[in-house]
Amino acid sequence: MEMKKEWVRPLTTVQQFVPNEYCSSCGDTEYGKYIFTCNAGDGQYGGLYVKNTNLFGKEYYEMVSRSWNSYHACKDTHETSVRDDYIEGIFDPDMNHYNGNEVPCLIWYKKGKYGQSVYQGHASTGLTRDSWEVVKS
Amino acid sequence: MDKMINLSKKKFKTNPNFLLREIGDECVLVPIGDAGIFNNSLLSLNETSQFLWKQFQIPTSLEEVINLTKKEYSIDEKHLEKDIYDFVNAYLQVGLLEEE
Repeated sequence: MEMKKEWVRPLTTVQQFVPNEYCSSCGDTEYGKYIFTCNAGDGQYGGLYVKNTNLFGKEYYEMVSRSWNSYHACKDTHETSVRDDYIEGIFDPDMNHYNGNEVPCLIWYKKGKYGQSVYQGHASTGLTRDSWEVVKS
Repeated sequence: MDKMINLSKKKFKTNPNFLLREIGDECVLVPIGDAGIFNNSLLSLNETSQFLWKQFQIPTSLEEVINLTKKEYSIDEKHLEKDIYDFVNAYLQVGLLEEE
């Protein structure tokens, strides 16, 4: 006669995993870095401007580069954080912002050791962040 | 007891979003697909849980499983039926077992 096994009360133990690292290698832009290409103006000298509103509610272009002709695209690619600020603006090779030669761009500032913005920014004509290349780990 | 009677005629089967796998000397349920509350989890089963899970891999009633278990294990009937009922009830509540 075959010996029966001893019964014990059924027990199920749940082990839950809590992720403490996130991988950005699959193009997940939630956590990770972009490859930001500084190309607005294609190397031409000009200024970077962002739209602002004055006290009277009137829109105007505020210069964010050092001068109207101090900025030019370095054409380098930079590793930037997905959490950095990317400001909508324009590159303009002249001081007339309404003559059609303005280039819409996203402006990014490199951060210094203490989180301060350094230099006068880099600007990319890639206006859709989802289309930017993501650094793969 | 009434609840047990209500369940005994129904058939249940295991949720196909969980696979039974043996890892070393441990038996676990691995969630695949939509695992509800068990996403990012592993469920470790002791021997009797594993046995019951295997019985429910094809649609089976509580009564059938109790009979099968009696053939395999030595225990008084009263405790066996209660344990299996508790198992089925708990697994139904968390979606590991589904009513056929």
